[in-house]
Amino acid sequence: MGKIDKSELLEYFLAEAEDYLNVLSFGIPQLENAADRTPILEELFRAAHTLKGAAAIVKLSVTSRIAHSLEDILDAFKNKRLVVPKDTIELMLQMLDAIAQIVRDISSGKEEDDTVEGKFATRVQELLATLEEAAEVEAPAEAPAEAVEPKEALAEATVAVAEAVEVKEPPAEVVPAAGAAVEAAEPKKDEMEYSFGNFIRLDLRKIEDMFNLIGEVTILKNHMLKKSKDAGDLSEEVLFAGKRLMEEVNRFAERHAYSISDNTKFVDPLFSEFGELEFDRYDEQNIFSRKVQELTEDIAEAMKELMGFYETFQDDIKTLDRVVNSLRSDLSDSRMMDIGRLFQRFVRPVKEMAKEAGKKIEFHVSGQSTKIDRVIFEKLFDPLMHMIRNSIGHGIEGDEERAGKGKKREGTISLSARREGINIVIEIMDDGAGINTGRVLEEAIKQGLVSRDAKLSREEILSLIFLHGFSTAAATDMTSGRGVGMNAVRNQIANINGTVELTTETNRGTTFRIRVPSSMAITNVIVFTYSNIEFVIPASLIEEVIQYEPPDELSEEGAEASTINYRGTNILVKKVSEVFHAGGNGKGEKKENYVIVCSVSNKKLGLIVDDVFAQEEAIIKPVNRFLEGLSIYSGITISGDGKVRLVVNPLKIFEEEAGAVAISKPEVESEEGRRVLVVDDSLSVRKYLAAFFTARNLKVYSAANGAEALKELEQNDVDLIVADLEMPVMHGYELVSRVRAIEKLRHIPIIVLTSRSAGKHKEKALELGADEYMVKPFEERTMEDALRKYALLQTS
Amino acid sequence: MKQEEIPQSAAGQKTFCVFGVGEREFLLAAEEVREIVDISRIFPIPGAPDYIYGALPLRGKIIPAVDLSKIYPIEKPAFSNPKLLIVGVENENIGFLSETSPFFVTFDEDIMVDDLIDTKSFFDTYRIKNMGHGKN
Repeated sequence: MGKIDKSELLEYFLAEAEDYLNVLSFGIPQLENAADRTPILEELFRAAHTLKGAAAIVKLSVTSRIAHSLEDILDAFKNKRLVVPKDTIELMLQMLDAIAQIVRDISSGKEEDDTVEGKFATRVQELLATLEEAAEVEAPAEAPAEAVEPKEALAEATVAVAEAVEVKEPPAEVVPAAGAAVEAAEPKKDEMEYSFGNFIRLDLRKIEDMFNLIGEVTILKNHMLKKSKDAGDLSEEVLFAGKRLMEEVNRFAERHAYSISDNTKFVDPLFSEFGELEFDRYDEQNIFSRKVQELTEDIAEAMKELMGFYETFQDDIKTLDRVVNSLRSDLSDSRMMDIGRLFQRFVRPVKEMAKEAGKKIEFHVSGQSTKIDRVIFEKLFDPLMHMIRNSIGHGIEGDEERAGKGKKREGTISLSARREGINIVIEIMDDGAGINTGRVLEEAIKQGLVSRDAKLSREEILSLIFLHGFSTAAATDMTSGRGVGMNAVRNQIANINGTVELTTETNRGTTFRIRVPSSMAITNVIVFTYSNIEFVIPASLIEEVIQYEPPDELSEEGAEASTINYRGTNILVKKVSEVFHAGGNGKGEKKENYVIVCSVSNKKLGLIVDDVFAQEEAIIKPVNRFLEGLSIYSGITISGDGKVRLVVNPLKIFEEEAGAVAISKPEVESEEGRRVLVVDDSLSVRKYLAAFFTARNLKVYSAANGAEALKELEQNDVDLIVADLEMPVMHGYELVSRVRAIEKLRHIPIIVLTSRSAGKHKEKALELGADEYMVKPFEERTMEDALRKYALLQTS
Repeated sequence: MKQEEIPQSAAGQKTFCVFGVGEREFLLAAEEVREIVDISRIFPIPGAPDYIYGALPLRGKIIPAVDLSKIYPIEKPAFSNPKLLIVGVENENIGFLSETSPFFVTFDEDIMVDDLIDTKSFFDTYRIKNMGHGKN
């Protein structure tokens, strides 16, 4: 049960108390000399007040009482605008020391000492009584004048207060107020600084900045590691070549360093008296051979030194690697929080929601000490809350129903966390009715998310609840009923590079399993290329990378989504080229070597890519807001050598397929409706237009270029063509003129939808036979008007 | 990449940064131009609309580079030695490609200039909204 951990609370109290004690210990002495005491008194009052409250919460009654008295004293001086006499200041400091003593005791594990109060209790009471009686002093504008006033005001006061007379500072010293006061306090600073335990408070943004810097250092370091490995390979090659050179040179030298001259050779007259073997003679070749040998030896020596240097350098880099890594993990730890603190936040809402729903629910929490990055911590609250609400509202049955099923009347919801490698796994488990797959399917069919004749496995049906559009009002009794479906939950979790899966068993309950990286700042990513562009996918989302063997029979045409066999089951795969619908890696140039298998809400899906590089560490930055609509990217990273790499979000790539294999294409639905052919090389434009037209009850065919469009037109009758101009294979102009040349197609109205707004583009299109010319991005109303014009839309 | 000096406007006057794409010239309010950089290399963003020429890493941030010739009727520019004008808008930085070296001109405040890009409305109009997964 989510009980409040007292020792944990104490720890926070200690950190907090330190702050307030320091505020008080710096502020109180300042009261003596400050020109304008009101702001100081206010700050001190606030500190004492908060300290009192905090101490009361952790049941430190003595501390709370002392802080309370302190608060009262400060309050009286504040309200009555009295000068604070020196010995009152001392009294307050004494009280402060007492609190500090208690806090110190507490932090070393001792109990609160209630004797400390005795030292000043009477004096405090007397002072408070005097203050009560003391008349309010007219607000004096300046401190010096005021210094005299209290003499009368507190004339009859007890000794403690009467001594206020002594507060007679010469005005000259009082004027530089705050500055002087602080300075005066300075020498005492050491003895007044309170510090318990080893806490400091730090602006989270500071840590964030440090993280970014560490991230940059990590990237650079990784780059250096790689370069140093390259240098190692290079030096080995050079060394090998050098060895061969040495051998060659030595062999050459052996033969040519000396030579027995033949008789025809020119003989130096100076040496003529020496015989051949009596004096060595060198010709050009000998000299050259010797020189080469010497040089080679020099080079070999330098190489040796260089190798030595390289080895040290490599050791240094390795040390740097270790240091940077541990620095990073230390810093990373500083951002880590116990997930238990997040779990605790659910304790009350669960109680309340259970009460509201009229159900009896036990709430279990485990794995509270699992550490998680603060950023992720914050972002988990909403999705967890949503799922817990689901469990209470729709998972756990009413107690009568439970009793009828022979279950314990009290339902159980457990929230647990554990670490699995670099990930944190959080499970929300209930022992309720489980999810009725039959009803999920029925609902999905009703909502047009899946076709009636689709054959879906149990897993596929379950994954339907994560679909966009599912579990809205109509599905209230099964899932949320709050308008935000599991789709939102999945997206929220995907934003922190996490995944969510569920298992359910009738009458046994449902388990949602969330997997998130334990840290956000630096993410392990897999780098892959497509068409020589580098992308990354967070490693936490990747199941496995396998070799891609293209199936023989797979036809290129229209194969938007195909399947491969992965560990015995068929999984959906998609080529990166389909995702972007860009050219570059077209037919013929087969480079698709690997499949990255990702796990997206209960389903395994594969992305076919050109090449996959090893795992790397990267700092993922958010996408520039100008580009944020490109939801296939969840962020951007910069590689060690300064390349921009886009972070691919597999969830978005497989958005349509993530739900089920057999999601009906909207086309199938409105058999009798009017039909539009959308021709555009951009997949997103096609998708956008398809959504636009389907929403207006039109059946949509699509083609990526003019040639495909003509093929579509051969097979299907359409009532309108919406075509782009610039497309590969066959452009829009050609399409328009071809359509106009074919008898049975001639009557079909054509809307050219292009990003070209130049007059001559338009003239040419109209000249060739286009009926309308629209410039992207188009106004929905303009398009609707055109649809009405060609009777594809009822006049509203 | 080098940084160029961006002049300040005097009182009663307004300074603009003039840059060219193809045969056209555009103006930006000088105070919006954060810096002008030479482009050494630029990285494509597959899936982005064609007016996004690519992205450029600059001091740990990524700046999208906008090709105005895909928005305005301009003959295909060469971009042989392009500059990028980095503009601060809506707390983000975006870049406009220029074929010419941008220069600054100053007019009296009351003179209305043509071809001035209102960066805020540009940002709102051309910011990518929900592309890439076909849902709207």
